[in-house]
Amino acid sequence: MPIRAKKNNLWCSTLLVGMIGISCAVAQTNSASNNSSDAQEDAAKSAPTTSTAENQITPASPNTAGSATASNAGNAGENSTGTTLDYLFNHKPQEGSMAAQAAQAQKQAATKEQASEALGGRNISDGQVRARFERYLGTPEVPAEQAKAYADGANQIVAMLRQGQTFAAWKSLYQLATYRSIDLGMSAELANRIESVWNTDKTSDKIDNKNSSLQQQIETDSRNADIMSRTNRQKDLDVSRQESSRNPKKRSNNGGVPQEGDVDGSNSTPDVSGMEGKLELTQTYLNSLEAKAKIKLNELRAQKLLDSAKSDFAGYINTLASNHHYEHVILAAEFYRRIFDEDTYPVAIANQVNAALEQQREVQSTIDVFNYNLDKNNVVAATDRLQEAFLAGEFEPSVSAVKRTAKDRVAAYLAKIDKLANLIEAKDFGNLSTTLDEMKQLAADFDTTKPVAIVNAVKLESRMRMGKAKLAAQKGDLKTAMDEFQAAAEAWPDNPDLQSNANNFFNSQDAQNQSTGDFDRYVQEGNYRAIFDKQLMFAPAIHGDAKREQQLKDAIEKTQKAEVAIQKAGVMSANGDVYGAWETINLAVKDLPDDNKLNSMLGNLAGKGAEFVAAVNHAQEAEARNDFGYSLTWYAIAQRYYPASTIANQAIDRISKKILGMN
Amino acid sequence: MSGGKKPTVLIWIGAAILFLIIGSIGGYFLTSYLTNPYRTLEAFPVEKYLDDYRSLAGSRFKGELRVEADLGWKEGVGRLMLFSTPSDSRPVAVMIPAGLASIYFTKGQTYLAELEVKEGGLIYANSCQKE
Repeated sequence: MPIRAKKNNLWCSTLLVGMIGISCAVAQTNSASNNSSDAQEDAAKSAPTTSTAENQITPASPNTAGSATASNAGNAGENSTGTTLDYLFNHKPQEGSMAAQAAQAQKQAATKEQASEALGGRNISDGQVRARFERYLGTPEVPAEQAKAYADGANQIVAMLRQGQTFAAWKSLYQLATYRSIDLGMSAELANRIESVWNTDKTSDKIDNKNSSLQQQIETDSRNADIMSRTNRQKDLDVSRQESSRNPKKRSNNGGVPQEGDVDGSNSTPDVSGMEGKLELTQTYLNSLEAKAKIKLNELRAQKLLDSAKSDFAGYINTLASNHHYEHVILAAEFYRRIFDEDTYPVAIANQVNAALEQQREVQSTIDVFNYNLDKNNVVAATDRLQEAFLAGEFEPSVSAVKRTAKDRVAAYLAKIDKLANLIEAKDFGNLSTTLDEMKQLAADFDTTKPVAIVNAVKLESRMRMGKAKLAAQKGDLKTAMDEFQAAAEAWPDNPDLQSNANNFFNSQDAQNQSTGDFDRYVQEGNYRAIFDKQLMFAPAIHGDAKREQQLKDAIEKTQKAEVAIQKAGVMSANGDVYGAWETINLAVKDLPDDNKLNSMLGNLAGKGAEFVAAVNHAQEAEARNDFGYSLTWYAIAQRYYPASTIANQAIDRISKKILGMN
Repeated sequence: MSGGKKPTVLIWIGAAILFLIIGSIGGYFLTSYLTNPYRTLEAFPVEKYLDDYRSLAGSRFKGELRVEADLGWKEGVGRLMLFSTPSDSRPVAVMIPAGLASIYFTKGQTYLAELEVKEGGLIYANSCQKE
């Protein structure tokens, strides 16, 4: 055997084994591959000029080989085998693997999304929060006494603050911080923040002290300036008096402008006596101004420090609120009023306090509903409520105090949800139904409608694909058949029909002849049920044959009527109307007397409605013997058992007219 | 001893009245029995008829029939009816010949009839009267 043919065999076998896992299919396809390989050799021999090097290594060659074989041997089976190999060789996994991977990933994501939507249970989409929630489920509960003591402590601090005992309240924060599992160190951090504000106050005090000393300096300077001013004025007066006494002409003050008498040069240099004191006065004045400026600057600095402290503290409260530390939002807001000596909160803080109080109430009521749901075994609703409470206030004492046993039930439910999601993603529907049953035990309110609908939809898709594959295979279009078969296998890998059908699909050699023969035999036997069951196989095989098409149509219609009767009888029997069910099947049997399914059901129902059935049988037998009077009596008895009986009523009418000669 | 005779007379008078009453009742039943045209006939055996009518074919019976349903009437032929008997609640089809058409049958009422099983198992009422 040529090396290429061996490779083809191996390739074909591997693909089918991997895809279907059916040894028979592999064997058959191997056989087909052998034929094809031989055909390749034939084709190569018959048309050596067209066999290029490329053709020898590309997958197109088996197709050519298949055609050559068909023309040489006229064997349709080999032709279809060639098509099979064409598919196998033209669809190597290497080709378009990136696109295939992308498509696969997309499918998986879609399935995951679908599973998640169908199952619910996971309301926390953020991975980190979900991890925190799962950790929370695994942690032991805070003892109720401890949670109560903590809440009392917090209330006591608020009361202290309202009584003006700010320092005592601040000290109590450290006491509150000892409840580590509830407090998480938030009280100690709040105390540190308050201390930081007080340190800012100390800085402000220092500034105030500086301002006081500056103020004193200003006052001193002012007094000195006044003294200096008086001294200088006195000096000026003294100088003026002396000059007046020496030179009366020069009594008038002309601002130092030299006058006529001064040309002798006796008074040519200006008098600067007394200027020294005036400069000192100016300096003192300037010192005073500088001190005032410093005071102003210090005041601005102190105001800025206060504003900054307020802003920082408000920001801290905001952080507490956004992190859902509602108890500490309330405590911090009370401290804010005290340490900044304000009658009311700023609007933003007031809003946060209101929101915190509201959230505390909300969380508490959600936890109450959670406990109620859990008591009723409504674990799905309970889980939703616990997740809501956790998201709204994971640090709330009421959330921390949830019993571990209760959390264990939620954890078990979520684990089961994950398992179900995995089963749906993996399309392991066999285990899925078992797990769904377990889930119903675990959570009474778990709605299986959606997951079951998904399962049914996927199964239906797989079956429909299988049907399309079957039809295509019967028409000889094995490429489409393989595509559809693969799609069916991907949709539902555990589909039991995959194995049973795989053997038949690809063995399409003289399938048409075989189908026609089987069809004729079933018609002859009156086995309409078999024709109905295999209609997909027969339809393409008898296509174009008017007589057989009509026979197929009749068979399908009869069997459909029988199926309707079976359905109807099933419903009637389930409702306790056994006589009606028997009669329905009895009427259907007349159209399809050899149908095993109908006869079997008729037998079962006859046992359940024996009196009525016996009466009808007596009546029918008598009618057949023309014992009309006797028959009429038995039909009347049958009617007594089942007044709505179509058989009895029609027969009574019919036989009465016959006896009275009214026909 | 007139006081001792009085009770004896009263006893005799009472006994005579009692005898008259009993005699009247007995006479009534005796008359009824003697005037009943079906007294010599056996009651219609419904169970036996339903088992196999052929063993009763040609025989005449007395039937106490309760009207169950009217199945139809044809002039010159008669009325086909369903009756039940006190011994068996299952209905039997009986042909009332045209000659007895004057009888008005009402559902639930009881009639006495002379019955005869004829060909094909059809029961005929040869005569019939309201009970």
